[in-house]
Formats: sequence, structure tokens, C-alpha cells
Amino acid sequence: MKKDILKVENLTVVYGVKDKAISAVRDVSFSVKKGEFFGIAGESGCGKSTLAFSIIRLLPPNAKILSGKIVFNDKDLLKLSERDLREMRWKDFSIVFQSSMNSLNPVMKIKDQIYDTIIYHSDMSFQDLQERIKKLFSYVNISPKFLEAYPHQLSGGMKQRVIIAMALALNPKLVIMDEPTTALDVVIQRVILQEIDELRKKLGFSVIFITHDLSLLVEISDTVAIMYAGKIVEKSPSKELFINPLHPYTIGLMRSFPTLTGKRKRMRGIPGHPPDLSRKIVGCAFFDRCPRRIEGLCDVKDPPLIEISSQHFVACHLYSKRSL
Amino acid sequence: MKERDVFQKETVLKVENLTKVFRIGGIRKKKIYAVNGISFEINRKEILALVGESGSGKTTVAKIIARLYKPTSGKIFLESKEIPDKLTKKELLMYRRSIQMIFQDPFSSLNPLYPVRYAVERPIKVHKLAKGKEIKTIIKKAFEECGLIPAEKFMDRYPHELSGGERQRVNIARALVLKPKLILADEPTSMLDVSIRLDIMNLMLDLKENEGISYLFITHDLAGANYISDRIAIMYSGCILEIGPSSDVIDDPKHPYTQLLKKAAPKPETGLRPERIDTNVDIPDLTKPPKGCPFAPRCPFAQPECKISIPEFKKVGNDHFVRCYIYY
Repeated sequence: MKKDILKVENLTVVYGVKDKAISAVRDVSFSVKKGEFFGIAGESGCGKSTLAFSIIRLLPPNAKILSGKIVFNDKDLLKLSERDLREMRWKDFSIVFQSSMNSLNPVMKIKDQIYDTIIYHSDMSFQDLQERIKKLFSYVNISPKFLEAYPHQLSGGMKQRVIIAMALALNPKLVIMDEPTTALDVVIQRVILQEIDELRKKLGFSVIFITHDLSLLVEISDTVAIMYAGKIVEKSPSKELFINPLHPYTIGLMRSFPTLTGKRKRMRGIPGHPPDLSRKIVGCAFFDRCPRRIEGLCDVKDPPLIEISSQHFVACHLYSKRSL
Repeated sequence: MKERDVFQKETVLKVENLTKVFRIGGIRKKKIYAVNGISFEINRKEILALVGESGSGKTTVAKIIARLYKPTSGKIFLESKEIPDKLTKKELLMYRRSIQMIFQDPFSSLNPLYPVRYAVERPIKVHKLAKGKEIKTIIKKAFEECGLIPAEKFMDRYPHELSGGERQRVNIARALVLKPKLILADEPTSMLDVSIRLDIMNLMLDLKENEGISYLFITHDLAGANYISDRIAIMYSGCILEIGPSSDVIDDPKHPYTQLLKKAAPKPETGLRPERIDTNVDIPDLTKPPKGCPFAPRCPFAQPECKISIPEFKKVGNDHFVRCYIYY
């Protein structure tokens, strides 16, 4: 069994907006193994990005981690000082944001921006630095001539590759990717994902990949967690999840994707919309939209996340009754 | 009536050799060749999907048809009547009554200062379709048709009180009140959540069936195009490279670019190991379009002649055309 690199336990994150408290992440626990490709999927507003931001402790000031533990390599990240965290970011874990192509400084050469990152964390000689950056660029398939370029001279896909190269610059053990390819075209998306996957196998880092595109996620990840209204409602190896989805929300999500091959038939999305997270949710958050809800149970009691078969967890009363 | 539907396709919109060149820059002037000689037609009760990567000129085509841009050259025919370059205000109004547009971003396409009823009311007033109480009846009907039920509840809400899917429904209602013949839908679902996308596409399909509306559906999502459209046109760097019935284009893509798009799209239903794709992903420079096929620099089958000229459309199946030397 491979070692857990990251362990999140009972994490709850709340945003204070005016006089309301919005629970974006509610009691989430999961772990990521070394070298694992861990996917998190869900609709917008389900808390997946908040989860990513809390792991690297980059939440905006109005957010508060109410409870929980984030253990990275046996260190509790929530107990570390800002200074220690700064040391760890990039070096131990790094993040690629959704629009990170816009996070490059427009008036600095690409080369200098990557230098900055590396120099802060290590005392590499200039010669080694040059070598390292050339190697990083070859990882992500960009010609080294672009090192001298400014960000506006690169296309969106290339900027995203530069960011990925930066995220890998210091050999982190964990790379968090928050919708890294959503703004890109399908072909470039596929090529970048291929590259990430190959690099992961070669360099052995773990990936947390966040997206709303479930069909993409089941293809590329080892484990998939489905989030709804701040909670993980189902977690399973991706193959198992695709063949045998259990939670009505997962089933609905799976059915919401038109398929490219096979017969064309009329399909439906999931009616309704996610609950208001500023109110206290009693029972299952999916109750209002669920086609198989049990009145008197699902709207009263919150279903716990339980293991149905090996590594396949689901939070739904339809299955908890069976196991009792 | 039914017989006519089956045997005689009625063309709603036809465009011929549409091109658009943008001029940018002050001192060092540049030309951007956004659309290079596009021709297609859309029949009544038909959805034509225009599929391509960003920067391929899809939106420019829609904006030219909506007359938000003037074409550099080319002709537009509405129900086999040519639309002249210069239109009087009245003629333009009549034209826009037949052709309406739905935009990609439901969050910025509604005025935040007014209740959503206002957005649907404006076209009725501008086009003088109704007066007084009638206006409200029309709005209510449009809201209900677009699944915003109860209409009274939604009419007086402000855009920020609605979800993305509901806002897009308002946009569809706004286009619908004029009873257009053709709706230009510019990526109407790409900003919506996956669980809502299908409902919006289903709404558009229902309106096609019930109201006989045709659509130009612009998207980069091949699976979505396959779901909604009758025919698909694949666009790359301002050119249409392949056009044909959706099932033919998807099941048996002819052009190497279409084949690449199909490979790149996620399709977990065919097994969980995705196909590997190898391509250099240089995006074509639209300021210097190549003389030959725009896809030639990326094409694995490129021949010397591909770099010299791009062939005309070749028929490869029933109503299925492709512009590629492989089939010559």
C-alpha cells in the first residue's frame, strides 16, 4: 500500500458575506496517495475550489476554516505559520489555477518569472538554473526560445504550459490543478492532460485535479470524488464510478453528458438547482432534486459517507439502509 | 404541408463566400483574416452546428449574419432574397426580426438594473409588435414556453436573482418573442453547469419542433453538436473544412482535422483509456494565412500540394462534403 501524501479530515470552511455565513465546504475527508491522480468533480458553487484553496491555505480573508485537519507529509498545515507555509508552497506542493495563464506578469520575461520561483526556494547556481529550466520546458513541450518571450507573445495553451512547468520547477510532491484546461480548446486540453499524466508517471508526484467535466475526469484519474453542496457524496476508483455510479447525483451527472459515439437519444439534465449554502441544510443536500428521495428520512437525517464495496464510498440513504 | 417538409427543403439562410478581414494596429497596420470564403445554407427546422476551436472565426460568422459586423465580401440570402450591403433602418429592423442571436455569457447579456421582463419587453416595443396589455401576455407566453414557470414569479426578478440556466432561458425568451426564422446561438451552453446544459439544449430542440425555428449552433463541443444538430460544419482558421449530416461527420469523419477533434474529445463510453494524440499545436497565425490548406502545418497527411492550394469541396457521401486532397 502506498503512503498517503495528503490527508484531509473533517474539513469545514465558511465564508462570511455581510451578516451571513456560507458553508462552502462541509465536513470533507479524503486522502491522496503518493503518485495518485485524484479527481474532484462537481457543479460550480459546490466548494471544489474552496477545498483546493484551503489545502494550500490561500483562502481569501473572509473565509474561515472552522474545523478539521489537513495533514501533508505528517505535518498539519493548519498549524503552520505563514512563513513555514511560504517555504512549503511551490517546493512541497504547488497549484495551477483555472485562469493561471493570466497570472503571468505581463512586463516580465517568462524566464525571469520562473527564475524568481526557483531562486526563492533554492540556491542553485546560474548554470544549473539554466539547465533546470530548459529541462522543464522540454517536459511541457515548449521550445526554449520562448524563455526570452513576454507572456503576450504566447498563446493561451502555451501560457498554461509555462505555469505547469513552473508548478513542477521544484519537484513538488503534490500538484493541485483547479480547472487547468477549462479555458483551452479540446485538442490542446487533451495534449496537456497527456503531458501531465506522463510527467506524473515519470516524476512520481500526486495530482489533485478539479473540474466540472466528469467525462474527462473518469478518463484520466485514478480516484474520483463527486462533490455536492460542500460535501463529498461519492468517492470511488474512476472505472468503478463510471460502470457503477451509486449516488443519484452522480447518476444524474453521468447522464447529463451527450455521448459522441453510439445512438443519439433524448436525454435530460438534473432539474432544479443546488441549495442555498447560507442556510442550514438539514438532511441530504440533494433532497430537493433527487428522483429517489425517501420522505421522512432523507430530509431529516444527513447520510454518512460509507464504504459500499472496496474503495467505493457513497453518502446516500438508499445504500445505508441496505448495509444495516 | 407535411409532404413539402419531407421532399422539398426550404432554405432559410444561405451565405456565399463570406469573408471578413479586420484591420488592426495604428502605425504598423495588420490585417486579420478571420473568415475566408465561407458558404453554407440552413434549411427550415434545421440545426446547423458550427464547430471549431477558439479563434477559428465561428463567432465572427454569426456576427456577420446578425449584421453586427459588415462582411468584407460575400452575400447573405434570407429566404432566397439577397440582403444588400446597405440597409435602411427599417429594413434592418425587419431583417433582425427574422434573425435573432443568443450570446454565450448569460451573466453579462442582461441589464442588471432592470427586472428580466424588461429584456423581453424591449424587442416587442422596438418592433412595435403589441401595445398595452398584450405585451404582458406575449411576455408571459414566451416565459412559459422557455420553462420559466410560473412566469409571473420570474418576470419581476432581477438578473442577479436567477441562476445561469434561468438567465439563458430569459435570453432565449427574448429571442423568441419576435418569432424569428433563425436563431444564431453563440456557445449558449458553454458557461452553464453540466447538469443544466442538456435542459437548455432540449429547450432549443423543443422550440425547433414546435415553432419551426432553425438554428446556427456555435460550439466547440463535438458531443454537444452531435446531440443537438442535424448537420455539422467543421471550421478551422476561417474556413469550413467539412460539412455534412451530424451522424456521418461524427461516425465517419473524413477530414484529418475532424478526426483529430474526435480523438481529442472525451468519450468515456468507449473504454476508459483515451487514445493518444500527437500533434504540434501551433495555432494558425491569422495575420498571415497560408496559401494552401490552413490545417496543412498540423496535418499528418500533408502533401506538397496542400501547401500550395486548398481544394474545393468534394462530395464524399450523401450531403457530406470535405475539402481535402486525400479524397481527390
